[in-house]
Amino acid sequence: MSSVPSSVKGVHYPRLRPGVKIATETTAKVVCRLETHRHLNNDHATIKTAEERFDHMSTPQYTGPIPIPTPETKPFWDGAKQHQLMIQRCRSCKQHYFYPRPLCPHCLSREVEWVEATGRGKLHTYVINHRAPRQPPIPPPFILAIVELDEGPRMMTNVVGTDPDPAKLPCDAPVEVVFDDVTPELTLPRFRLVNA
Amino acid sequence: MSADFRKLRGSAAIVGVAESDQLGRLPHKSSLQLHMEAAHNALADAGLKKSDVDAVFTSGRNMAADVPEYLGIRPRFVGGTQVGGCSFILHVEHAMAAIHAGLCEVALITHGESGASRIAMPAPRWGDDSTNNQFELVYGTLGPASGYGLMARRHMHEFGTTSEQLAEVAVATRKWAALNPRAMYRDPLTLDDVLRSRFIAWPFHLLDCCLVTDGGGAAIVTSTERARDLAKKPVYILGTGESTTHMIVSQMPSFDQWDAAIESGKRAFQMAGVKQSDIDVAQLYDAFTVVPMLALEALGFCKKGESGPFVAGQRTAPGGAFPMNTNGGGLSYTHTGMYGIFTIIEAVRQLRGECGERQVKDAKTAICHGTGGQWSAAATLICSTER
Repeated sequence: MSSVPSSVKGVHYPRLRPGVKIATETTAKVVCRLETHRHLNNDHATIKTAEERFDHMSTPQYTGPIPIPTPETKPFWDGAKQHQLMIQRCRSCKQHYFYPRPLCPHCLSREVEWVEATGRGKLHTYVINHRAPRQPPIPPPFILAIVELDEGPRMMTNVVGTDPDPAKLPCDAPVEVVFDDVTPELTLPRFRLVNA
Repeated sequence: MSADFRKLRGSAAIVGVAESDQLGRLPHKSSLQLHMEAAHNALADAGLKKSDVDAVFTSGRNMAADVPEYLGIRPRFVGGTQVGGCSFILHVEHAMAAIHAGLCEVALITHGESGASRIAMPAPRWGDDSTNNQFELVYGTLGPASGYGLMARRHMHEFGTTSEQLAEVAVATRKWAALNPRAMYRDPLTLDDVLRSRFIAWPFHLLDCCLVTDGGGAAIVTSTERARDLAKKPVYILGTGESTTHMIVSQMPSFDQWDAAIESGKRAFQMAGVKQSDIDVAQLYDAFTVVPMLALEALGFCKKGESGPFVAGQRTAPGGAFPMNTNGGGLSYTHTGMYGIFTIIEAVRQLRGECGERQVKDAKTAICHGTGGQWSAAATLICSTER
């Protein structure tokens, strides 16, 4: 993941058109995604071309969005790639928080540090998406969840490894993190029921 | 917090309201044309001319400059607050404050959105480096359908709220729509129809979700003094409140109560100096069936967790004890994307007695309440025929 933003920001890529050469499979996927997003509204031909090219890439295919880290969020994404769930903690008020930012949203202190979370928590709430989003990260129906980490903060995620059936998904069920390497560059922290 | 805000009570009035010429699927009209039609019609409703307008409030990226240009208005006061669908209810408070401060006298609040046809709509808001895309979109969010559903699921867990109770709202709202000639869907609906419609984002069925339409709406706010000699009987602004708690839904403080609405409602009732039992008719933004239910709790019409039993038995339908969303709501009348303005239009028409078959008898005091984002922002307006 760490190579994605620098390569995207530092290098000018030609717009994808039939016949444009793409250096490597890895880079091509990233470029395809970005081009797809950028031209969504004004150039349907570009989208089609990008997606057609994407279809010829490696399998199984991740069809979800590729986020671009910012300087303050990069340690989280780098951590995920190392299969570590990195969150932040305030040295002043001692509370953990998420998403990453260089100040504590509880007390506004800027004395904050990165810590590795245990990866354990509870399934606070969820929905089961039956309709596919524009870029589905998982084929629907799939579980879109809010997990409350043992450290306190909540985060959005997917619950995987369980049928998307409400009867099997009680709120407050214990969960633990699993790291899905969805592309060579992107690892998503997802969760599974501990007793499933 | 100073108690000074109470001095705004009754200082301004809503004197004109209107929709665009048509609502629904309008691929032959741009979002700006829908603004124009609503603004034009609202000025006519108020008996005011374009030259009387000295303030413009609207929502959407760059729209606070785009709309005055399109209308040929040079405002002395410009309001572009954009916190989602309830923005226009916030604009009422901001207009009232600006009028009270002497910065302007006649404020045009306008909305136009080609929500279904997407003609001349602003570009998508978020890039792949936004917090939204990094920490939510990447897990497959469906926008509002998934964001609002997260609260519904937790509410079911905490309080035993059921899908049947959610469906009650859809059915009751359709009954009001049947009485509104401008509503998009007017055929009767049963609880079974709702419960058998396909899932969009469980626990939401298709018929728990609002429409997606094209349309516009506008309201004119002026000082109580100026309101006295205009075309229609003024509707006085007694109380307003607003708040935001988050932008992306994973940052929401609670998933079993609507915190932003608790704040906005408390302040609006404090300013107005009225009780919940003084409200004759309620227009509570219904992007999804659960949204007005959580508003009923946040605004104090029922206790926390009790909105399911509250809406059961068609209590909010025509003839029920609590007339709610009498235009047919976002669920059956129209929902352009930012529905808030339509709560104001319907409240004013009810208080003027202009609602024909769906008129709530002797309605004197109304409440409007809206949501923005995904439970992110909330705004409340209490208005009345009496000061």
